[in-house]
Amino acid sequence: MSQIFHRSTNTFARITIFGAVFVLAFVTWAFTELDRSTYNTRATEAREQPVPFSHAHHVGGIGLDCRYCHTTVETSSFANIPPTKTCMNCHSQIWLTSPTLEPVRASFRENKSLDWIRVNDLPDFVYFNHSIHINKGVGCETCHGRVDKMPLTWQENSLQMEWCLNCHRHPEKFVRPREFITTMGYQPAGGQEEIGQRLVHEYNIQDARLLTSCSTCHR
Amino acid sequence: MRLKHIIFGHRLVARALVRAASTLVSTLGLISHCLRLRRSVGRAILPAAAFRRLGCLVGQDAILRPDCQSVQPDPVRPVRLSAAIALLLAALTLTACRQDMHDQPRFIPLRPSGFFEDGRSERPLIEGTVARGHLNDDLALYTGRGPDGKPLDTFPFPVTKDVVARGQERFNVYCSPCHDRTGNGDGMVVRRGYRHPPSYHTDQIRDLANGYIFDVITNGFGAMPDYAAQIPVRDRWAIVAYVRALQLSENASVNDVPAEDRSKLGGAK
Repeated sequence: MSQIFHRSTNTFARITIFGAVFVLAFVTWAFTELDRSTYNTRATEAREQPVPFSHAHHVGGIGLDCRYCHTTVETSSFANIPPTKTCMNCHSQIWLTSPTLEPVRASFRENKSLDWIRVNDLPDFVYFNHSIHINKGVGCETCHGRVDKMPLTWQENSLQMEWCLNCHRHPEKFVRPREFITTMGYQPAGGQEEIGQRLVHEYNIQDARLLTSCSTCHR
Repeated sequence: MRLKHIIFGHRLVARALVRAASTLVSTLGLISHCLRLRRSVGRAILPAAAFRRLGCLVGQDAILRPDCQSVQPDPVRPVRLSAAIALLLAALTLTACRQDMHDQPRFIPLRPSGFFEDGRSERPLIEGTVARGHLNDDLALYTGRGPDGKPLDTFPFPVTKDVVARGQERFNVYCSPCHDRTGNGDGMVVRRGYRHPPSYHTDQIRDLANGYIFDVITNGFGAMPDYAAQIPVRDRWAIVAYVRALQLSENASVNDVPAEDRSKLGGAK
């Protein structure tokens, strides 16, 4: 009985075993890249909302402060989505007949909540508190990006753990004085490194060991 | 159906597939690990002789099975294979929708609830009840009125520099969109068509009592909506203090500036 396989298949088999390392490495790399991709995290993807609310118009155009609507951001874990009443503060007189705003008026008339689509959604196993970040000098812009340039709101960053840790490891690279907390397009008056170091000290920001401890965010 | 809906829909499906694929890989590893474990444990615990005594098959493909009737070598493999395939299929179909650690069945702020008719998990205060610590029985602080029901012209707490600074910050957030940062009433929202509020810098407004201004912020007045929900009580008083400071600043003469600071004015009168 003749041999089924030619001698060259031996070499082929050896190369395959050797190549498997590269194949595995490639697959691992491909998975991590896919996992980090905006395609997976849905960062930079503008979400459709029941009303096409434009931060670009309200923040960039009119110059409203973030806290005019997100009133609880400094005192609560949750930066509230404003009630319809807040919209009606102005829209009881402005853009009165706009059909775009009919869902807002209907919500106010009938006391029904607007079903906004959540844009920044952390997993429920992450403890996150807005107020501590705001009070320790992490600006809105640092995580949410240039909201004043978003016609429809999108999630600016991946919200993945490695992204959180970027700042928890080196807060001095990101913190700003509290008076600029809601400023969009903030430019540090001097070197960020130097200002950051000073603020970390002044605001009693914990050291990286505590900030990166598991139970700081997973409690 | 528009194009973006199609693309968006596909993206969701694709994302689920990616998630499923990654879980699949780990599940595969787990299954093979389990099978190997069962085989090695089986050999270690029961030596070949014992298997033979029990009448079981002992060989390359033997695993510990509760029923030792079958002695044919073949049936073992198909059973295991089909079980593995079933597990894989289950992993594939289940993983794509398993997000329960991400979205746990509990209420985080503003998460909807099917339990209540209005769909809100956050419940309003039941009428006639008072939350602990919210009796708000300090008349002067919460209403700006004295015992006689007249607006106070004092402040319910001492006004320090910090209070005025806080008032300035809050004024710029909540009031300046209409009243403008100087209080003249030419804010951005007014320029877009909102009814023009009176300037702070008239005798009529200057003569208003502090408590009256507090009441306007709390309950609204004319075209102005109430801001009780947006601005906490002490901040409202801080804003009143800052409004007073604004009024002073817009109606001051050089004589109000301390003599040693006048040089900084650059000759202004």
